Amino acid sequence: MKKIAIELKHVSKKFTYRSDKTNNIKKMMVNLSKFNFSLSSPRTIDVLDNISVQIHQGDFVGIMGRNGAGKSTLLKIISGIYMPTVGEVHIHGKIAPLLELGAGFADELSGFENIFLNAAILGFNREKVNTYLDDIVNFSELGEKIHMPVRNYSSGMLVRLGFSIAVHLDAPILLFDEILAVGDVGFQEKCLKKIDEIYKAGKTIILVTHSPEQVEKFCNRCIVFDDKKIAYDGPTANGIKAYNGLF
Amino acid sequence: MSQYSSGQTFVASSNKIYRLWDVFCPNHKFLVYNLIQRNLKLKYKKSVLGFLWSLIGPASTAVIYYVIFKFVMKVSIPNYVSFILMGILPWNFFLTCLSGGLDSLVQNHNLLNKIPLPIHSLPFAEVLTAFINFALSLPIVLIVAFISNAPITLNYFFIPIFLFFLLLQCYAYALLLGIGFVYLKDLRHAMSIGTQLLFYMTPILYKIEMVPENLRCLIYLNPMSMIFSSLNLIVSEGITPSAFQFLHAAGASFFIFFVSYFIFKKQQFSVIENL
Repeated sequence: MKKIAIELKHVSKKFTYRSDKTNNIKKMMVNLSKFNFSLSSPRTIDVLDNISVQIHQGDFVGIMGRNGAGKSTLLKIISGIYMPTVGEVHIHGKIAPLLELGAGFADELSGFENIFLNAAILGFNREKVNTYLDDIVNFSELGEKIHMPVRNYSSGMLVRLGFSIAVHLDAPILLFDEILAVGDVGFQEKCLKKIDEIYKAGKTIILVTHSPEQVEKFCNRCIVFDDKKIAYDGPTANGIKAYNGLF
Repeated sequence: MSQYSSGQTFVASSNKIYRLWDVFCPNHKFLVYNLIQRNLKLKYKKSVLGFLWSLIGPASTAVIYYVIFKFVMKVSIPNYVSFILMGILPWNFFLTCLSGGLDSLVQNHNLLNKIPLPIHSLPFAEVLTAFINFALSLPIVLIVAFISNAPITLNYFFIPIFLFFLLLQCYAYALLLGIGFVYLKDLRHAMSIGTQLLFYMTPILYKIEMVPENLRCLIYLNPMSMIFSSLNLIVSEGITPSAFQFLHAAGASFFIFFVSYFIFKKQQFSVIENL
């Protein structure tokens, strides 16, 4: 029986959308003088609806769905950025999320300095970084440009560096949110090969993608999102049919 | 409907504050170290004089105040240069913590929305960066005291203690302002007016004895006043801080720190969604 890496039980997520926000002191004073102590008139928007899923150690899950269905929010809840409104999230193992290009990078610093910063932000310690530093630099294929300020990087370079850092730092669970779309074909292939490598080494991987080919080729499981709910959760062949059926 | 009434996340390692000690990011030392490095590099990478600016600013303010208050207003406080310096330098540290802390969450909203981070590590790194700059400028006080023949006594050993109290308070203010700014966008203006007032309510340019009795309560209401008055007096006259000063400083600092801890602990879950 494989161990569970990630488990969501009846998770729902609502965001409170504030119209007429009391976001300055003047408005707050005006409201107080009318004895109105609320911060705004809240409207809630449902983003996830009763999601229950179990992801086992060593799974390679491909998540697909229309834009706005809730995939990114799900990843953010799994990574711990958001808390679920209702339900429980159980995580066993460290997560390295790669949700946006260069999210942790400081523009003024060089790529090399940003390796340390980004690794620290992802929660890794100094020893880990020093162990894998050469691998990270070599895999990114940036060569001398690694000492340039990140501000001057193209989005392709950003994804090379970000991906290189996330994938080498040895976290048992990895989350990728549609980030492979940016690199050139050569790098995409290299990334997918690397992901496949670490999958075979036993890591748990979640990949959000709009490419059924990738899911078919690499994943062992497929989840299709439709309108805040999971429409399909199972082997990839039928998953791709379900995804295509959405359109 | 689901039997789970509220959302919970069970993670092996957590980014949230659960106990008091968590506020100091004990499990994220490498992160804090890197954030501080980033702040310091950002500040000094492009400027020519670099670190010297941190000295020139307060030094020139001190000179101006000295000239006006000693020669024009004819204040008679012994070793007035040391007295002012030991007020201006910590005050600037306080201001840097406030403005750094205020911006720390909102300015990094991209980061906070994309990567799971302990939120308090950002204001914490700002405060520590400010403290490093402040500590590096402190030798000037020693040099000035030496040059102007101000008494350099064993009471100098009390300085780190009062600086620790100041650090606790400034971290508390940075946390509160950081969260506050997420909800109230004109907190920056309130802060700048508030600190201007507070400056004159703190014994930086004057001694407490010079304040008329009926106004003195305002000074005592200021949680930082005893820290500043102790620091001033140690450096200008070599006076040992009194028990009252010590207890007032300690009590106010720890109280404010606990209040900020409780508020931040409660708000930490909903802050990110409101960024």
